[in-house]
Amino acid sequence: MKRGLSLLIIICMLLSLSGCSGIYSNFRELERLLVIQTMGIDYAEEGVGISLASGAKSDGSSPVRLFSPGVSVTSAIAHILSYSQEQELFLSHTSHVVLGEEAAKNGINGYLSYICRSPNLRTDIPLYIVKGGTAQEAVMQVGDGSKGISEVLEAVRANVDERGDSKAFSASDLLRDLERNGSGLVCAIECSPSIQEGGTKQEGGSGSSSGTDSAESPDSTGGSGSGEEKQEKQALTAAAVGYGVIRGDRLCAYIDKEQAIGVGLLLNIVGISDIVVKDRYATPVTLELDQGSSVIKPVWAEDGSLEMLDIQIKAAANIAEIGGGGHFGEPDYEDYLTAQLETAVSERVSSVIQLSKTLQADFLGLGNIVEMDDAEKYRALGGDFSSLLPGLTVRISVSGQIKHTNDIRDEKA
Amino acid sequence: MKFKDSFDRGQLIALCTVIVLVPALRLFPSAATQFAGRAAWLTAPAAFLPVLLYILFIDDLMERRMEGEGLAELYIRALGPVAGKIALGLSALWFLFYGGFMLRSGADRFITTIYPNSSSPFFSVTMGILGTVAAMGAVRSLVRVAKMVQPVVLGVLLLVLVTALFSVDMRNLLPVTKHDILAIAEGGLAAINVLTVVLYLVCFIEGLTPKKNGRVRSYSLWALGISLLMCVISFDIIGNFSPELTASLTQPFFSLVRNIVFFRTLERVEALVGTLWVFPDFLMISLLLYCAQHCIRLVLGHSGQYQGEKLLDLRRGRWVIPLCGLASTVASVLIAPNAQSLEFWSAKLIPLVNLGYALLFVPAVYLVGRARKTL
Repeated sequence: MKRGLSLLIIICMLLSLSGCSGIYSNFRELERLLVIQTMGIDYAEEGVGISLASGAKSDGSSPVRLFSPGVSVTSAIAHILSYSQEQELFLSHTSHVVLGEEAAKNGINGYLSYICRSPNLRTDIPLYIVKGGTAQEAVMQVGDGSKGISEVLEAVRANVDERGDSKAFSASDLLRDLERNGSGLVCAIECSPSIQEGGTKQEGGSGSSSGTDSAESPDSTGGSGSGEEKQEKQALTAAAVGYGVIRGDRLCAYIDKEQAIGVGLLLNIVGISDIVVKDRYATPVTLELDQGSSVIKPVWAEDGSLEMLDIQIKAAANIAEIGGGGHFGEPDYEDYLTAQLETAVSERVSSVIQLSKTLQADFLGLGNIVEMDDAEKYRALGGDFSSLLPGLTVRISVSGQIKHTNDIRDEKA
Repeated sequence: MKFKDSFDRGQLIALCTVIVLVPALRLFPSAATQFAGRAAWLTAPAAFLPVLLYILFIDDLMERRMEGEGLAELYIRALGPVAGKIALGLSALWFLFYGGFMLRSGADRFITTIYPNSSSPFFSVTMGILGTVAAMGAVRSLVRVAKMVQPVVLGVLLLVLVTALFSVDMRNLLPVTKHDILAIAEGGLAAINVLTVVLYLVCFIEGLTPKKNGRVRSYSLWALGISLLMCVISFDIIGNFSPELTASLTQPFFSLVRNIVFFRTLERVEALVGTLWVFPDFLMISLLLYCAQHCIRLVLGHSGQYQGEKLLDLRRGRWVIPLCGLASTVASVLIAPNAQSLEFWSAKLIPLVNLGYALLFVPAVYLVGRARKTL
């Protein structure tokens, strides 16, 4: 009997493990899955507009792009599935979430909640805001014949990781900052025509050539149907342009690329950024800022109140380019350049701090730094650090250094 | 030849290690964070001292057992035949109820992490059947399974924890001040809950081990190791997610696993890791069913121990075992029809009853036994 029972169990296991779809209900054929890599979220009258894009296909054909509005993210995705030609949307490998500007202005808590609740999405998924545009535009139009928004955002992410002028903060980063500081940062991207040669895509045709597959024909895909004859249009690309500032749960301001260098220095996430200054002969000099750090020290008054924040910044740069040749043999030339670097850095940091004070938004996490310095005194401040920001004195000192002139032996160097 | 269901203390500790992982990952991270916030990673080490005291108590209690006696037999001896049987009946009820909850929460973990849109009774019933079959056999088989799966489960857990360490943000974990001491103590209750349930459960099967010195040393080292492990688990989870997010997630450990990317190539391994937790679930449920049937069979006047009977042999009161499995499975289907009510059971009721059983019920039996001079 024992042998018979064992045989029966083995047969049952073979049937269930063999992948027979009739027995194993969770079985899915890989070829039938459309692997979504980018999700766009827009504000729509119905509630929300969802755009989805797969990655580029291995045969070189363009990615599949889908759009639908809905009363919620889930219903929009269900609508996309119903009205597209795809058998199944596989969202587990979604690598980027793009928010339209309008959606971000109308509040993002619902979307963050969806990301955390969804069993398919990771909470550390990077978020982007489309500055001055919609996620639909970014997802449906960015890319050329062989690349789509997913590939472009991969490049953006690699780029911002290397450079100091932005960072792709994740959904969980933002949730934490909103909970703790009441505000946070999201990487801002901008859709603009690609400058790459051959960066064109065909539009107005059958749709399949552009890879656009709209569940509910989006007005921005060019699929309005005039199109017997194909027209060539400059392909769009996306580039990081600093940060969007979220306060409460709404987008309230942008930090541009120049200012974003200040954010990088204050958050100690410095990459390689270019700063153009002028030397004492008014010649433009491009400095490559590649090292920097900040120490933010609260200065406490004797009565335990916060007197000011003392921000000490170190910035080191290489000379990447000098229009017309340098004058390193001359006395004080290098000192002048260093002072220019310090001024440029100071301006960027000051403008970010000023924005934080004006908005009463602690998106830099200054409150957390103050708390780390002296938790007892921080408790005595009452907890809401953002409200203290407008009246807070901030002293910024920058120590600059020109490290290297690269492969040109200038006189003094 | 008469079958002897026995094992040594090393195997018992292996069983403790595997089954403690169920509440350590389900209950502890969120519960401790709800009380202690960013200081929650210190709650498990803080709980070690009270747990050590509990181990000393358990040692004193179990030192009074005779060869072949477990905690169930001690209840009868301490309280007398009538009160002892009532205590055993109450204990069996608690174990069946707790078993039902374990089945339900295990099913919920599957739904949350791997099989969204599935129905929980399928998982509960399947595990209930497996647990019943295991409870009808020898406990020795359970401890052997624990011994075998322990390195795999711990290996995977450590791999996840080490990988997650690289993305810890210290701002989520510090500062911790003297004002957090009370919160750490409150959060420590979650750790005490996790450790004491295992400590008193294994006392019910300790009768199957030979009487041997060194219980305090073995259990203390085990509790120290598990406290440190729980400390690292919370450190990783809070360090990655922040206390705010950790407190609001229902399965923070498995959300952490979902985020992990191994060597920039391998990701979304939560299904593999989540599936491994079938083993701790299985062992915990089997042990609870075994303890429940043991208590009920003692009440009915039979020995609760396995003596080499065949699987379908229902003599000597063994008909109780499938009924216990059925009761737990039915409880699992009925107790929490949705995830919100499960949250109430998981965060409030079960920990409260468990602490009551561990810290009031068992010591009360001990005190009565000492007063009656039967222990």
